[in-house]
Amino acid sequence: MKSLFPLTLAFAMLASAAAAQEAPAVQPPNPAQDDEPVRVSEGVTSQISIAVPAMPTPGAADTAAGNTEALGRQVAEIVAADLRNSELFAPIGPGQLRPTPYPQVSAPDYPYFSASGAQNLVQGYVQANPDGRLTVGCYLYDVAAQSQLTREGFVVSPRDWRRAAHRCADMIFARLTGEGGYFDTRIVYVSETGPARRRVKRLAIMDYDGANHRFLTNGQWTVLTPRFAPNQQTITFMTYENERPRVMLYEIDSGQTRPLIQSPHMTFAPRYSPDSRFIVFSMAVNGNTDIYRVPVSGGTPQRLTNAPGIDTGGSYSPDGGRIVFESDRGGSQQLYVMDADGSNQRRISFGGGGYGTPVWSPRGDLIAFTKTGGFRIGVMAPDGGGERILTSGGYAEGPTWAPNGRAVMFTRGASSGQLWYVDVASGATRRVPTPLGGSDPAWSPLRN
Amino acid sequence: MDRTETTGFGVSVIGHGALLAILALGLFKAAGPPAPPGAMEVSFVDEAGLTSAAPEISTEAPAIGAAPDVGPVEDAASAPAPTPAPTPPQAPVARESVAPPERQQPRTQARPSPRPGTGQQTRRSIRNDSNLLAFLGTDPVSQSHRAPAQMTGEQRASIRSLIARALMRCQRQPLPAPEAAAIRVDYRVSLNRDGSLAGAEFVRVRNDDPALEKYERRMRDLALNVINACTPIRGLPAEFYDVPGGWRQFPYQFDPRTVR
Repeated sequence: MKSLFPLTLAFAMLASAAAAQEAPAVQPPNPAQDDEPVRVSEGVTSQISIAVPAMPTPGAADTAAGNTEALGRQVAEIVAADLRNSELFAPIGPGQLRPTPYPQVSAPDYPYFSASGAQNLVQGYVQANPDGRLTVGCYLYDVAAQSQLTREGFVVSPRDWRRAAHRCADMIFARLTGEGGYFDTRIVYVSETGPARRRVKRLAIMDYDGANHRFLTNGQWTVLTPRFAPNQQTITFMTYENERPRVMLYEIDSGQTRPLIQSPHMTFAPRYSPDSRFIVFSMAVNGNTDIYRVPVSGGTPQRLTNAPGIDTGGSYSPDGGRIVFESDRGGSQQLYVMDADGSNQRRISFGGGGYGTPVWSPRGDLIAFTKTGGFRIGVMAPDGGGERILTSGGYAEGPTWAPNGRAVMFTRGASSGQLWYVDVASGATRRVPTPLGGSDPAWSPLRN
Repeated sequence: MDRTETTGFGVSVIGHGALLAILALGLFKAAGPPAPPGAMEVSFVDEAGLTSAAPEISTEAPAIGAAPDVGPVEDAASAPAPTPAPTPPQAPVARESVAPPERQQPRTQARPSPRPGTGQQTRRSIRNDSNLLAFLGTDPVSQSHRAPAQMTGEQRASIRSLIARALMRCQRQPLPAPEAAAIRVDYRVSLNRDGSLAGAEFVRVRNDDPALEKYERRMRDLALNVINACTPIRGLPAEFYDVPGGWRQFPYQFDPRTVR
C-alpha cells in the first residue's frame, strides 16, 4: 500500500492546483511590488539660486580694513561675486536684498528669502575683536527645508579680510556642490605691456579674482611659464636672463630668486611634483631636449627621457606616480605618459594637429592640453580617451587647473594676451581681470 | 500474486482512485471560504469607478487640510478687528485681506514661494488625471473615513504614479554635477492624511563609483528637497490612506538619471 501514497499525493496536488486557479478576484498586494519605490527620475543642472544679504555687525567699529558695518556689505558682495564667477550659482546679492538684522543671522526670515526666489541663503556677521583681528561668521541655510546646512567662523587680520569672504564662499561651494572650493587662491602669471617687439613681461601675483595684485619682477628680463609650488613657498619660472633661457626659483616670503641648477645648457618648462620636493624640467643637451628631474633644493638632475627629438612640458599626476609630457618623437607633437622614474613611456594622443602643454588635473581624472592645430584648450582622460575641446574661437593656450579640478584658466589672444576661465563641466567661460595684458597663468592650491 | 490477489489489488486501486476523485471534486466545491456578508466587490475594469462596498464605520470630520480649498487656516483666526470702527459683516470670512504680509507663518504655511501655488497646481493636475482617478475612484477628499479597503497591486501602482507625478512637477534644486546623476537616494516617506509631510526617513545611498562619493551628501539634500518642496500632495484617495500598501507610508527614490 505504500506505493499508492505518491499517487494520492499527486491527486491532492492536482486538486490544490485546480483550487488555486479559482483564486478570489482580489489579489493581495505583491510583496515585491511593495518595495517598488515612488521614483523621481529627473534632475536639473541649472545654476543654484542663493541669497547673499549684507552681513550685520554686533557693534560698529573702525578697523584697519574699514568700519565693520561697511565690511559686512563688502564681504557679502565678495561672496556673491565668487559664487557668480564659478558659473554654478545665480546669487541674489546684497544690492537686491534688505540687510539682515543681527539677531536674524542665526534665525533667518525664511518667508522673505523664499519670496525672493532663493533656494539657499548665506548670512553672516563681521565683528571686530579686542585683539585687532576680525571675525567673519558665515552661515548657510536651505530655504525650502528651513534648515541650517553648515556654518563656520573665520578669524583674520584686517589686511586679510577679503580672504575671510573667499573662505566663506569656499565653504558654501563645497557644501552645495560636493567639490572643494577655489576662491581663497592666488594666480601667478606673466603680466605683459608694450609693443610686440619690445614687450615687457613681468612676473605678477594676485588673488584669483584679481585683487591684491603686485609684481614680483621688474621686467628687466623676460619671464615665462611661472608655476606655484604646491606648498606655496616658492614659484619656479623660466627667464631669458642675458638671452639664455633657464629655470629660476623665487621664494615668496623672502623675494629671493636663484637658478634651479647651475648648468651651461638651456633649461625650461619647469613644474613641481605634488609633494613640492622635486621639479621636472626640460634641458637641451647636444641638440636633444629631454625631461629631467631635480630636487627643489638643487643637485644633479636625473634624466627621465632619452628619445631623439624634443621631450618637454612634463606634469605630474596628483599621486606623483606618473608624468604626462609632450614629444615629437613620432613625427608630430603628441602627448605621452610615463611612470615617474621615466619607465613605461606610451603615447596617449593620436589626433591630428598636435598637442602641447599638458597639465594633469588635481583630481587625477583628466589631462588638460593645448591643441596646437587651431589653438584650443581641451581635456582627455589619462589613457587618452574622451577627448573634449573646451574653447572655441580665438587663440587659446597654456591651461592651468583650479585646485578642485573643476575649472581651467588659460591665455587667450596671441598678440595681446588675456586670462580666461572655463568651467570644465559646462564649458562656460569668463575673462579674469588683470591690470595689464596677461599670459601663462598658474593657479595656486587653496591657501592654508 | 494469484488471480484473487490481482483482482483485489485492481479493485483497491480503482477504489482509491474513485475516492480521490470524489475528494478532489469536493475540494473544488469547497475551495475558498464562503463569502462573508457585505464583502467588498472589486472590479478590474479600467474605465469603471471603483467603489468600496465596505460599510462606513465612522462619520468623523475629515482631517485638517482635507477641505477642498486649502488656505492658511490660521489667517481666519487671526482676523481681529483691532480698530473700534464698525467691522464689515463679511470681515471674518475675508481671509486674504487680514493676513499680515510678512508675518512669520507656521512651517507648513511658510514653504518657499512656489509651494502655495504648487500645491494647488498639483491638485489641479491630479484632478486632470481623469483616467487614473476614474480607476481609483473619484473621491480624493472623502468626507468620511471608511473601513480599510483592500488594495490591488494595480491600485497601489496607480496611487504611486500619482505621487510620482506630483513630485516631478514642482521646482527642484540643481544637481551638484552632471555625473552625480548616477547616484540614487532612498527614503521612506510618511504622509499625513491631508497629504502633508509627516516624516522622511533616510534609507540608503546607492553609488558604485568612489569618485562620486563627494556628491552623496548633497544628493541626500536634493532628494529630501523634492519631498519638502512638493508636499502637501493633494487629491490622493482617502480610502487608501491607511491600508496595507496605502499612501500613508511609501518608499521613495531620487534617481535623477534623466538630466535636463
